[in-house]
This record gives sequence, structure tokens and C-alpha cells, in this order.
Amino acid sequence: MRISHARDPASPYSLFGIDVAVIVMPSETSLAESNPLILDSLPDLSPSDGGCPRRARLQIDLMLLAIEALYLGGAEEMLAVSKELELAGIIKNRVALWLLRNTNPLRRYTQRRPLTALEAKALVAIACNLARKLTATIRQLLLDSQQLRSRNLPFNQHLPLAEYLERFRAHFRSRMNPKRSVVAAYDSDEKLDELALNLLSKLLFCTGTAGMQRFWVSLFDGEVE
Amino acid sequence: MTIRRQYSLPNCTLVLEGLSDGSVASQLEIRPVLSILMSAECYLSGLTEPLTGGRDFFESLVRVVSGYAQEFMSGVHYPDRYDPDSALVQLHRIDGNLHRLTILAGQSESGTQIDQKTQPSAEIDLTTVQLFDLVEAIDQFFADSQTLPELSLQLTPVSKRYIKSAAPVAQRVLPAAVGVSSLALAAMAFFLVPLPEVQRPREPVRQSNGTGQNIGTPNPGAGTPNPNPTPAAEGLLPDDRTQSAISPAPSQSQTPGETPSPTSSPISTANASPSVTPTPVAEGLQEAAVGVPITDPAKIELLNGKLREEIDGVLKTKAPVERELVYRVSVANDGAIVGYKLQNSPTVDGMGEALFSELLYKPVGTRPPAEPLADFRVVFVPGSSVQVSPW
Repeated sequence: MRISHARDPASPYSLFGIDVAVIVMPSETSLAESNPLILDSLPDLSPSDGGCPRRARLQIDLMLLAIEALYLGGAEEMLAVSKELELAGIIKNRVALWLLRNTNPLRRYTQRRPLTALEAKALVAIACNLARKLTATIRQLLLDSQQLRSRNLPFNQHLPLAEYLERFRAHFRSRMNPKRSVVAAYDSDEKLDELALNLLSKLLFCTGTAGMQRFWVSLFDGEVE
Repeated sequence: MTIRRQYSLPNCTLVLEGLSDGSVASQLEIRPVLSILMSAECYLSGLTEPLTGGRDFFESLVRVVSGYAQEFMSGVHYPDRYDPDSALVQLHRIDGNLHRLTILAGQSESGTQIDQKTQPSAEIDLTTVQLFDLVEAIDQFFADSQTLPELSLQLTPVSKRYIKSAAPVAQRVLPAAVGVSSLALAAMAFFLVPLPEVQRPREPVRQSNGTGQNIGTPNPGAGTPNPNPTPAAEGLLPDDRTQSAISPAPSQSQTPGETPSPTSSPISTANASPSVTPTPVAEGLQEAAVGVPITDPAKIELLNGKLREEIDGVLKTKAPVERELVYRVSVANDGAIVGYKLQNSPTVDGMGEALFSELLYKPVGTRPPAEPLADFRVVFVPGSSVQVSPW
């Protein structure tokens, strides 16, 4: 009798305790690990925790769109970079990336889900990383466009620039919802070319030493209290 | 000893000269901290002479250029971002690709400046790439913890409040105005919509109860004239019916001012109708003659159409007639068919009987006695549709 008394109450509790510890601990540690170091340099600026402001979601996606226009296979490269930067916990696969980018309100298949600060930071990190890899191309295209502009020559005189602009126009038109007034405003090739070059110069600023922080903070200009 | 720090970019070179604070710790380091700035030089491509100045100039330069870079990236223009009035350096946007950098003559040059000749006001238009190189040189300086460590990159987004106040009042009021006016328009549109006509709901036909009663029990009131007005049981429960059968109380269904003949009660007629016998038809018509006829032509026309619709609806499922049949049909105010009689033939026609027995109003509640009725002539023509006209 004594033995059973001593053992009975103890055994279930200890078993229970072990079980709980085994189940809970890994999820806690993985949560802590899922905030990669690279994102620590970006301050938390989200006005409320309801996700990123509209302009931020729009701008991030457009920057990624410009990268895709710069570089064939850019979408694949984004996934590769997300693994490289240890962001795979946030952007798990192609569909997840697609869903995040579709938080852009101008998309044809725009998602009503919010873009959390962590997800936005991951996208910003990917965009800036890719931009840095493409620094030489971006610089050259901007210098060339400057020259063409100063000589009053059309952009299609320059093959690499014409290719970039054409790809950007095609991406933009196929993915953005033409019923949105913002999209409808870009109704001519010239206007889209202007947008593409504007994004290109913003990408140039992303390549800098503090480019990622600058890009991130600029997304919240006029959005915080 | 003088420390020289240089940040070189293709279009911009930033050269800082200064002294360390002379502490022992800093002198031991391989790369001592530059903590006292003596001069700053900024070489820009396209400018033969460098922009030079002291600490005030340099602080103003980094603050203005950094703020302008943020404005360029966000597209949010906020004039007070870097208090341009007091700054020695100004940057203005000319268009998307040109940015004008203006250096004002320094009034408050500090004593630490070595180059004492006052810098004349300089102006240079930078392309976006040149601007980026300038920003990058400054960012590299910020990133260098061994040069002026007290200056660091301060990036903060502009507050919503300043942007809102910058938007013109008309622009802010417009959405509200549009909302209010569209509400007013909607209200006016609803005002013009006519009120829906309230139609008296047709009384639900609960025939199974009454019919079962009538068929199941040999009810004398159905076909034959009965001195005991059993139709009093109409609409009541079976118990009541038996009671009333036991104690003849004719008062319930008596039509006021009429002869107490039970045959004249329209309720009895209607009640009996499910067990199809031609006799009650005459009763209905008789009642119609006794009751007030409907005289309003509009009402008659309405009932005419209603009757025609009802007959048409049922007629589709019936076989065509072989000879012409003329019926006289009595219709109550609400369009209920309360009686019918074949006019042009002494023999009962199967088709017409089946049709009207289906359409005949089978009461569950009490119908008002001596209600106004309208009579219609319904003619079935072989091979064609039915004709309905006022009698």
C-alpha cells in the first residue's frame, strides 16, 4: 500500500510535465529563431499592429516587379535569396511569396489579408539584397537613360533600357487590375516608362550602405503618428 | 596629428580632416577616432572646386541630403523635414531626375574652420545617380564609427499630422461632400418610387379538414335543404359541430335581414362545395342576386382579368371542350369564385365542372354574409381560348 501511494501521484504528473515540455519547447525556440538577424536593423514602425500601410504594400510589390523586369528569373531568385537570408521561415514557398506580394491593393488578385511588419521586412530585405546584386546594371541603365534624355532621344534607342522598360510594362499590365483608377492612370507607354525609371532610381538607393533602412523608413513616411 | 578620412564614390568624394580628442585610448588604436572636425570637402563630378566648409556646413549637408533622400524614396514632400531656412545647404527637386544642391554663404562659420575664405553661394544640379553617390558617401561616413561617432544616421518617418495638414481643405472635404450628396440623391429617388399596393392576402385554403368532415360524415346540410342549419359548424372544431347538431342554434350563420332558409346562407354553399354537386351553384347565384352587385367598372374589370387568369391557369391542364359552354360565374370582391352555373345546356359538362370545382372558393373562415358580388359570362369555345366578360 505505501509503495503504491508514493508512486501513484508522482508518476502521472511527471509524465505530464515531460510531455508538456517536449511539445512546447521547440515551438517557442523556433518562434524566437524566426526573427532573422538581418531584420533587426529595421525598426518597428507599423502604426498599429494591423499590418503595413497601403502605400508600403504597393511600393514593395512595385520594387519587386522592377527587379523582375531587370532580371529574368527574378521571382525564382527571390525565393533563393529568402533562403540565403534565412527568411524561409517567413516566406515558405512560392505561393506564400505570391500571397504576400498580392497584398498590393492594385493587383488583379489582391489579397485582403494584412501584410505583417515581419513579412514586409522580409520582402524589403529580399528586394534590397537583389538590388545590391544588380547594382552595376541599375547604375548603367540610369546613366544611359540620363544620356538619352539629355540628347532628347527616345528610350528604345538603347537596347538594354528598352528591354527593361518593355518587360516592366508587360509585367505591370498583366498583373495590375486595370479597373483601379491608379492603374488606369498609367494608360500610355510613356507613363509606365516614367514609373519604371522612377522605381529604378529608388532601387539604386536600396543598394547603398544604409539602403535597406532608408527604403524601410521611407515606406512609413506620413503614415505614423 | 591630423586625421584624414575619405569616402570615395564614382561621382562624389567626401574628405574629412580633423583631430582625435587626444585621449590615450584613442591614440593606441590603429585607426583613431576623428572627434574634432576641422574641414570637410565634398568633390562632386561636374564641379571643379570642391564644396568646403566647417562643421556647420558638414552637419547641414548630411542632415539635408539624408532627409532629401528619404523624401525622394517615399515621394512624400514635407518642407520642414530639415528646416531648410536655417540650413547652409539646400536641396530642391527640379524634376524626377535632377536635384539642385545649393550652398549658401556661411554666416555662422565656427572658429574651428581652417579654410577661412568664405564660400560663395554655389549651385549645382545633380542627376539621380550623382545624388545617390552623395547619399552613399554620407551613409558610409555614418557607418564609420571611428569618425565623428556622435553623428549617426537618424531615420524617422514623417508624422501623419504634418502630411494631413498639408492637404488642402477642399481635397479633404470632397469625399464627405460626395457621400452626403449621394445620400440625398438616393433619398429623392426613393421618394419617387410609388408606394407598393397592399393586396389583401388570400385566406389560406385549409380544405383537407373541412372536406374530410363533409365527405366522411353524411352531412345533411351538404346537398339537401336542412331545417337545422348545420353549416354553423363551419370553421369550428368537430366537437362543436356535434354540439351544434344536437342543439340547433341557427343564429350563427343567419344572414341578417334574410329569410332563415338555410339554403340562402353563402357559408353553407361554400362549405358544401368540395363534394361537387350542381345544386349549391344555384344557391350561390341566388345569393349573388340577393347581395349587392358590384357596380364599380374598374373593379369589375379587375375581377374580370383575375378570373380569366385563374381559368387560364387551370385550363391548360384540361382537355379541350367539344362544344361551346356558357357559364355564369359569381365572383366576390376579392376575386374568390363563390358560385357558377352552366347556362346553355341542361346537362352538366364534365370539363367545366371539374374546372370550376377546382377554382371554387373553399372557405375555412367565415365569409361576410351578403357580400357584394359580380357576375361574369365565361364562354368556352371549342378549339380556342376562354372568353370572360361581365354578365
